[in-house]
Amino acid sequence: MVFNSVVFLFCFLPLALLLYYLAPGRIKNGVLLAESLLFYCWTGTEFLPLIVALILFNYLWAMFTSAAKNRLHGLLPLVAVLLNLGVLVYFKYANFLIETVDKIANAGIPALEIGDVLPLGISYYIFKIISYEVDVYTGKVAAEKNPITFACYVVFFPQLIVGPIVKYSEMAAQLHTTRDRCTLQRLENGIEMFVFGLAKKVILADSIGALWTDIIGNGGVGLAQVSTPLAWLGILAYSLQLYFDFAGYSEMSNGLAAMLGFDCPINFNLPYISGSITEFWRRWHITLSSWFRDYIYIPLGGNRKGKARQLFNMFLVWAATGIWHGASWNFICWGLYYFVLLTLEKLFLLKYLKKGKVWPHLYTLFFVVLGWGIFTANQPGAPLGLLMQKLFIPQGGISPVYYLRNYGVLLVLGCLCSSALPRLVWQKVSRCVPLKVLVFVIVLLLCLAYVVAATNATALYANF
Amino acid sequence: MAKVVYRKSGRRAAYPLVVVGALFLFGGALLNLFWPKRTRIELENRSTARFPAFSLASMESGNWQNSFSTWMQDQFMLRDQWINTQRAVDEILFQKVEEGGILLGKDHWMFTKLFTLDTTTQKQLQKNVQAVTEFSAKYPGKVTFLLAPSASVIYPEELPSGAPMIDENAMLDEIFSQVGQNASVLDLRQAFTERKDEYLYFKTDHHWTPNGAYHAYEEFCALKGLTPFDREAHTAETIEDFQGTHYSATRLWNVQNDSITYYPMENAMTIFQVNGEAQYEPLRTENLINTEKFATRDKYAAFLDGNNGYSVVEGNGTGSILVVKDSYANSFIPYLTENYAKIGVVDFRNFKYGLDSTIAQEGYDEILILYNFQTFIADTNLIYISRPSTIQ
Repeated sequence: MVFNSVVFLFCFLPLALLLYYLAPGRIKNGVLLAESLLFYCWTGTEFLPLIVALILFNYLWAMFTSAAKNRLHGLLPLVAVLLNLGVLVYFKYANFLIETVDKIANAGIPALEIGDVLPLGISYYIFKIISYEVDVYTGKVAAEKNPITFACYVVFFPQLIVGPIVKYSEMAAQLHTTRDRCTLQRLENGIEMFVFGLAKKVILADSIGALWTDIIGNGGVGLAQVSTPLAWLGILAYSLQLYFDFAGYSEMSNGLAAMLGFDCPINFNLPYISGSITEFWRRWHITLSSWFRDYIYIPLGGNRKGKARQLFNMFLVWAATGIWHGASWNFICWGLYYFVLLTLEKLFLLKYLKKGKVWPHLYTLFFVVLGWGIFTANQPGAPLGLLMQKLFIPQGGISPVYYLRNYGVLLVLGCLCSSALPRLVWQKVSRCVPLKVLVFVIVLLLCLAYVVAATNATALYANF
Repeated sequence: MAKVVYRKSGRRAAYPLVVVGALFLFGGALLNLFWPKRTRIELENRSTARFPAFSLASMESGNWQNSFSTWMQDQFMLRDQWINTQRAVDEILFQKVEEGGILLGKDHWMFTKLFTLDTTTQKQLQKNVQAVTEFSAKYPGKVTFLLAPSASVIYPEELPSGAPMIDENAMLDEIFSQVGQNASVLDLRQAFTERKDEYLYFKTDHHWTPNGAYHAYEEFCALKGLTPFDREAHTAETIEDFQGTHYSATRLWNVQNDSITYYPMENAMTIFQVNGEAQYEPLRTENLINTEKFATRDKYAAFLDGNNGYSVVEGNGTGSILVVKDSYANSFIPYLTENYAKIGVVDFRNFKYGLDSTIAQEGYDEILILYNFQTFIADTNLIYISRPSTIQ
């Protein structure tokens, strides 16, 4: 069930909120768990045993870890990480690995029959679980004694499909609050976040994304036919779509969390205004970057063991970031592409970037947009070689005139909304309550119109 | 002593979005629950999803949940109005010139978007051309092939700027040159372009108007040496406020409704049920224009009462003709009653047999193949035309 659907907005959400608000403090987590499980089962119950088993194992293992960590030390988190990661690898990467081995060694291992669809949200909740196990071992958090509370954290429905990857330590306090968990102030903020997230997803992301689909999608004109300017326009549109899609979804998630009484860290902070790639990764998918920082980069020594070791650590982090997005070579290339860029910045570029005013932003945008070109190359219709040839060898073909005519306003709007401008406007508008309500109602009505008219495209990031 | 608590007046306004949000969420859900449900969405020309029957197996697979979501989506209150709003925002605010696969041209024109031919269509086109060519070769001198050009070929200047439409002109040239080896071909481009100030195509629908069909018919008569139906000698009826399929897709906010001008005729048409190759059973006999359909949304379906597999129209002329066609022919065929005594009509969407046995059995003198370009290139049924007879 995606958030931008009629069934979620006018059936699941009102019922879920009503039940949750009516439930007394002590059983709120139980209600939330039941609702989250229903949400999880909306695509079928096939993988329900998997998540139940994972919850049970990790619940018990964390208790065991906190009891035995002085004797067994690193073995404990190692087992937990390997097991959880093993599940992720099995579902997400096994066939990719088999295929690769087959190609290299001609081994002829048959592909596993695990279906084309990943278990819902597996990339996200496995990372949540790992953060919990490691934090329990390092003593950052105490092991959760109540299995319902722990299960509630793992299948928390606002974060189930596309994250964000919120650490247990960031939700533990509120999960244990039984009184005044939900406040009107949180609700107010949550509703605001949710609706603006929804607008990003259904008005901007889906509309702008149609440009790229017009080129590479089914019935599209085909990448081979387009001219160089149109190819650039295409990946620019894809970049905007990806941002609004994911940022919108994250905002909806945080909005829902706030309505339920949880303050979760923001996942996106206007990434496209960054003045360097380093800064971009502090603003894009913040929860994922900080997960890699906290659970790979820093445990490996971070920058405390010399330049060479630091570069190696960065290499690992970025290879992992790439692979996390999917079992495909283009994602690995995309991750390493950022490793190269970040290394260059770290070694010498950053000090020039800090002095510049305009060019650092152009430089960042250029490489980020190009990066999304590599990123999208796993889609049929956008092979990397062809895309790069289209982008960098100037050539004729279908001109961008029509696409500028059809998508021009949306593209401009998309660029404006990637900046801090809407935030400023909303702050100004908020000073006058009637105006604020008016603007809000208009945005809400527009969102509804787009939700009803749409075919409910799921989040792009649900596939990663 | 009781503690005095000062509350600012209008304290409630501190959480205005909570009020708005709650109203929308709970009010909307409640209202939607009791909103009248419908079984058909007229504007989308389809039935609504049914409420799914519950079973454990369907829930385990997620099918029930999926069907329930679709049902809610279909039955959502004021669905048509929400969609109209979304389209209007797209069209006015975002200045989009394409909606639901339809291009929004200048002067309220709407055109079917055709930017590329996928490989399936390319192959289908080859098969169709080949089928028509083979068929025509079997009936030398008897077959006329009329392929109506798309509106965008006659009115290219009305397309949105820079629309990269496929080169239909080149494709028409190629098709006519291939089919023309065995059949007489009717290329309407010149005749239509000369009359482009007239009302030739609907703006809200993918069909030509009865007037466009008439000029095609004139060309047909000129080719055949026939005297065309005299419009001056008959009174026309006009049906206003026609919104066709293009409108259903785009919901153009400032749509200019079309009108249908037709000539009422006395001629009867018998619609047959097709039981097998060359086996027909009369289903019903009625006027060749079913005026009841003018009262519905799908007004064009009045002509020949829609697309029936096999029907026969009684004409006032002499000889017989078999028309193999798509829906473009429906508004064309009434004029043929002037010239022929018997007009057979085959629509391969509901007639999956070869034609030879029918032509022999019913003794048709001539054959007219009438399609519009867009159906012709993609139609998967036209290949039946050259299928050999299975009757011994």
